Amino acid sequence: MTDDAAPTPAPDPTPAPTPAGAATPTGTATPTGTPAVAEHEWRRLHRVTPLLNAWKIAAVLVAIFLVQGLDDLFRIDIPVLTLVLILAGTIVLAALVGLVYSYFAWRRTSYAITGDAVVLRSGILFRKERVARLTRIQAVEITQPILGRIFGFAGIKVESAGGAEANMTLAYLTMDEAADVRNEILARAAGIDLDDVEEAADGDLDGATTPAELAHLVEGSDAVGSHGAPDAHATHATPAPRAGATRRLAPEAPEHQVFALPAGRLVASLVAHGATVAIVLVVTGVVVGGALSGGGEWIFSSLFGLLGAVGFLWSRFSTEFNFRLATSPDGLRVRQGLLETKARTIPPGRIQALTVMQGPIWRIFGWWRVRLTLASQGTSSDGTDTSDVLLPVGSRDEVVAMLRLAVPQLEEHELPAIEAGLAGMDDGEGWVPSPRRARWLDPLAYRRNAFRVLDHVIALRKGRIFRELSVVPHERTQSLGISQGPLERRLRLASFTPHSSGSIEPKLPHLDIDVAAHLLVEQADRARSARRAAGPERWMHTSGPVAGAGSTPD
Amino acid sequence: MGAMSLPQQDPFEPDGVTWSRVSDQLIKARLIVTTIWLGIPLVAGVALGVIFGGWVWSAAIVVVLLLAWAIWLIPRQVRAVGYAEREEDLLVRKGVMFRSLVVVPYGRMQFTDVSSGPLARSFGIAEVKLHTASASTDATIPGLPSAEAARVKDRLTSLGESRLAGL
Repeated sequence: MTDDAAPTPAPDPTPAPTPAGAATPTGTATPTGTPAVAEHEWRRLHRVTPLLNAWKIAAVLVAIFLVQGLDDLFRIDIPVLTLVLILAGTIVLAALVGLVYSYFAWRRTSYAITGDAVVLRSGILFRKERVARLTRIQAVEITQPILGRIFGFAGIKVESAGGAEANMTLAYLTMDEAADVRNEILARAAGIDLDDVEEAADGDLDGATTPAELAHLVEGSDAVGSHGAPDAHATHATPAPRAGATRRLAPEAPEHQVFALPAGRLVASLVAHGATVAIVLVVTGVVVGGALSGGGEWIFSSLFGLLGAVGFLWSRFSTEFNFRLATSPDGLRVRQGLLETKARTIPPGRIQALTVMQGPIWRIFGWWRVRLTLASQGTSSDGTDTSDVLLPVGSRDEVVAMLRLAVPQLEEHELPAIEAGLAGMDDGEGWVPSPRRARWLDPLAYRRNAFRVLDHVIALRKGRIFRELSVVPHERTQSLGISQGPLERRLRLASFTPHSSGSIEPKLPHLDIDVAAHLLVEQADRARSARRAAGPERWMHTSGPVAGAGSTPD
Repeated sequence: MGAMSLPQQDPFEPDGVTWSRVSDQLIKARLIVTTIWLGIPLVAGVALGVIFGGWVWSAAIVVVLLLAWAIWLIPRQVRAVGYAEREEDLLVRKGVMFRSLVVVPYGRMQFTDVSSGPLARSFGIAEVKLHTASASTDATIPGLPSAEAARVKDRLTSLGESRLAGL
């Protein structure tokens, strides 16, 4: 195996890595565990990885030393010069240890992308091999930390369901390589058999594969793009130039930017945020209180709260700066970040639920925020956070446009209902609100709390001061629940919850008890039939439901 | 508002559902646990009452009242727990004052847990918990006789497999 980070020069004529699975139309690969990976399929991370990782380890070591030993150092009386030398020596030593460790860690790390999984091998003493099945990938993200941006390196995070530990990070690669790997993972996950593409391209199609021809390579692809991808980008584009290609290069899916957040609006929205109001109130309170009491001790007690609020605003600003959203056949592509940038691709059918929110101050400006949730968690084990924002701040029209992108099944004629979900009250547009007697339990919002069942989603709205609209596609409902407290029981009310995976937990309080009973039964039916009709996990495939569903008639 | 036209129906009693109840052994197990938990403060309260006398006794009285309430409540709570294996989904309901009902389609099941502590084992009961991809799904059936727990688990697992759906 070469030390070189350049991709293994192995256009092996017989690559087909897995016996079955790769071509299974339903995307359910054989459940026989780890797909065999041929030795030449393993790839290395870039050799700069140890350098980029070493400083993290060094920083931790230095921090431990400072915390543990600094007090003692100051207690014993030694010359300043010695002290400085000790500190410098510690830093150098820590850097060396970090470098040596990261070097061996890098040497022992390799990854492979096969026909049905991404595999990562790592660990110096305790070897670990993680297999992320392509059909189970929820999102793929390219992350560039500030150092990576300066030097042109990036990491890839492959998100699967199962908590933060389930994410797989391939770091670091050169920016171009990262884009190639991302495209390859997505293309394979979509169900495009790159081995076929290559053969076809080498053979009859002579390298000039057109999108239509490429689409033809996807099994049963007469309706490619049925997931609502805009027709112009119905399929992956022509493969990258093949001359001198080192490996099967996946074609990059063409993308089409649909939204860019102006920096001014982001700043304004943060100024109009509750955290800013809190800061202003606390500062005013401290100044006035200090002037009246003549003491300064107030300042310190309020400092932590202030720091928290400022930190919150800063992290919102730095993560959501330059937020852009694009569509592509691979799904939604979200780019964001001031110092560290992220480009996350969310394939079709991965969004589990959406929430639209608006606080009292944003209401003045007509601003909303849209969050989404996937089955995977953005937070990865190395602590880097992915925000789950679909629209940091936007107008009502933008919200509706975003919802249509995220849930392509939303029909044109259903949009008035969605709008009524944003700002409406009572039973307009088919919404079913709490009955009037619910005012005893929720005098402010009982006219807002309501649900609306649409063809493909259930929408729940609530909150009068802090407005909220949640949208859960029927086929993504995990389970349903109703609950009832003693007061609700007296008033013949009950609360309804569709359980969706991820961080959004919509709950609709105080429905009429009969309405809730029917909703529970009917929603269970709807969820069941929607699951049967759900699209394949390999989104370029168009064959029926995912697996063995439909074993019983309705 | 639509509600008027609907026939009256208790949402916690869906039509055509026959509920299975959990074992009465769970009542004993829970009573023992509660008695232990409340017994310690009770002893402490009585001791303090003996030593200091007067109003200090009120602490012990409060604990006694709590215990009495628990002894009254626990059998009702256990009898309120019910589950039903329907064709496509599992229903679990519980609660006397705060009632809840969960509908879990078999195809959504990610994994099942069967667990029993030493006390539960001595009463021959176990708890079956169903997990979906949603953390908020709370489908726990406590107090199943061990054999029934194993049967439910096997059935759920095989049903989950045959109706498997994606995320």
